[in-house]
Amino acid sequence: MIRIIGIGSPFGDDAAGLEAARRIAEDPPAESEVVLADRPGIALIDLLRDVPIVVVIDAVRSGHAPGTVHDLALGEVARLAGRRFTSHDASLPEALALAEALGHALRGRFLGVEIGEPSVENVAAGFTVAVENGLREVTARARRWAAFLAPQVRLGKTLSPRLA
Amino acid sequence: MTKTRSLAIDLLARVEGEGALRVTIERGQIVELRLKIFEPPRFFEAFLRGRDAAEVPDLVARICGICPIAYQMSAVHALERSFGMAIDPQVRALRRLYYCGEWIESHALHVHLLAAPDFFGCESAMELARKDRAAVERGLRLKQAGNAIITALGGRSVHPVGAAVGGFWRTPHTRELALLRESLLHAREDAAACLRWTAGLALPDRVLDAEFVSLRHPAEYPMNEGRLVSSRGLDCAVERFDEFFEEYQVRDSNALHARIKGRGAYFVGPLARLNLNVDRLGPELASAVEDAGVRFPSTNPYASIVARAVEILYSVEEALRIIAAYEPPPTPKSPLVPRAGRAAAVTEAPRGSLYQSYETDAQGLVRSVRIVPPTSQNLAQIESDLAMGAAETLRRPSRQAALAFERLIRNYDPCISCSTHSLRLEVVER
Repeated sequence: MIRIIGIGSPFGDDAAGLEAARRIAEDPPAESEVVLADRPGIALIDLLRDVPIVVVIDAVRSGHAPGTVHDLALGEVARLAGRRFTSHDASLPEALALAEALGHALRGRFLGVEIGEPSVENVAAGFTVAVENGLREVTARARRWAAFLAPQVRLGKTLSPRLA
Repeated sequence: MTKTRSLAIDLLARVEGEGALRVTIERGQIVELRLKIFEPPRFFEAFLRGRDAAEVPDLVARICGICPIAYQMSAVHALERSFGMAIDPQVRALRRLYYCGEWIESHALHVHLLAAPDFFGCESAMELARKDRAAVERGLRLKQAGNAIITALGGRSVHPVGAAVGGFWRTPHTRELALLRESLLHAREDAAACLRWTAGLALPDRVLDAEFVSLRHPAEYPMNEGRLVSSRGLDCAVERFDEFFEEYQVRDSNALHARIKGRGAYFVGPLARLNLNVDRLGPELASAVEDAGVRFPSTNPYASIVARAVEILYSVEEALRIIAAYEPPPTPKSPLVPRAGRAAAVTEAPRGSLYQSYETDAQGLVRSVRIVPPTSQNLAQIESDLAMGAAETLRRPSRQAALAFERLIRNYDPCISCSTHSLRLEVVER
């Protein structure tokens, strides 16, 4: 079983991860379940339990052009965690790093859609064209990853940490 | 000649919001120590004006992602007082249960992930998790138990939407609360272990000459009701807040500070609450605290971590008691019949007393609002605490000095985002 987790606030481009998961849930890939997790903070750790592989989808702001798709192994995302950790705002890297420190194997992929500066106009209008394009791309990639990873999980194959 | 040493350290990791600490030293003496809060103001008091009173609980919940219940509770109590509404006793009990959920989740996170790393020489929760996995897992379980209560009453644990002026939009069935009971029975064991764990920590010796302030209720450990009292004899109805307390602006800060008129800084939060209400814990918990080998009242700010652990255990026990006695009220909320008026309320947020006052017109539209969050009330006290022994602290290497200041600040669990309003340490030497 693969768990596909969509993360994001419900508003504007920041909802890209949630929306990707919602679209995938309309016709979920075989041997997969889809979770719309809103903004789980450290509760993400609970979503990593009891499944061998996850695919996490979220909006990203890293300075790239809006719509850019990021496709990383989960462990690579955990390496991005900084020292900052607050109860209001445990970011995805920090939640993953804490999960790893607690002994949870980080097995899976992270798919991110780059978004721009949030604005009131964006919240009212829905996804910008660039982000919509990125959103379609991560939705397709999440399906491809699920199709590739599911048989490996079923056959009990050990996946390289670089891959997932 | 002025020599400025800017250390530019992201000082306040593991607290909320953006700020800096600036220390000015002249001929070896500290002449100024100031928390600069540059988290942008959020204007909640301004944009609540003109809104319908019924919208207020959902709006103020957005002030804080970690203590939304506190903002909702101070708001509904003030508005209900203004409208002269009577509240069903079961609704009152459910509100207390709601608050228990918030105390458990907020304190569990602060104790295990934000404060505890300091006591084990760890830089982060991740490092502590590698050193003491069981403790961090326990913190996460406790947080989940608190979140489950909030979800049962608020619909969701983040930005809950269940609270209404007059009660709740929906009250739970008895069987829904019975489901919480099992997780709370496990949480009781975790909370007791957490108390023993914090009580066993080697707390640095520090004696504060501070005035502690919290609510005090005639019979209960205070959450939603009571009078404001202090360790130096202040005792007033919450409606008289303005007679005894005042906010003031300081340079370089987007957060107002607060003081007791004619006296100065004061200390709010779990340590203040416990110091002033230790006799309201009930005999069983009081003896558990005694067995753990800790004594309250305490003037050591580092004992705040133990006070939080005591309040986690209290909240779990109180939640179990409320669930056992629960009978669904006849209606989830009393009808809202607006009238022109003005009223205030103080409730006890995880971080301390939270004051709100509302003036409404005859249609129930908000005309003016004042919100005084606990962190604003603590800022002057934090500065005073930091100043004590700061010259000595600054003789240490920069990194160590910053960590020592950070650790002191974390005792107060400040929420800079809420009060506006990683801290850099900036030392100016003349």
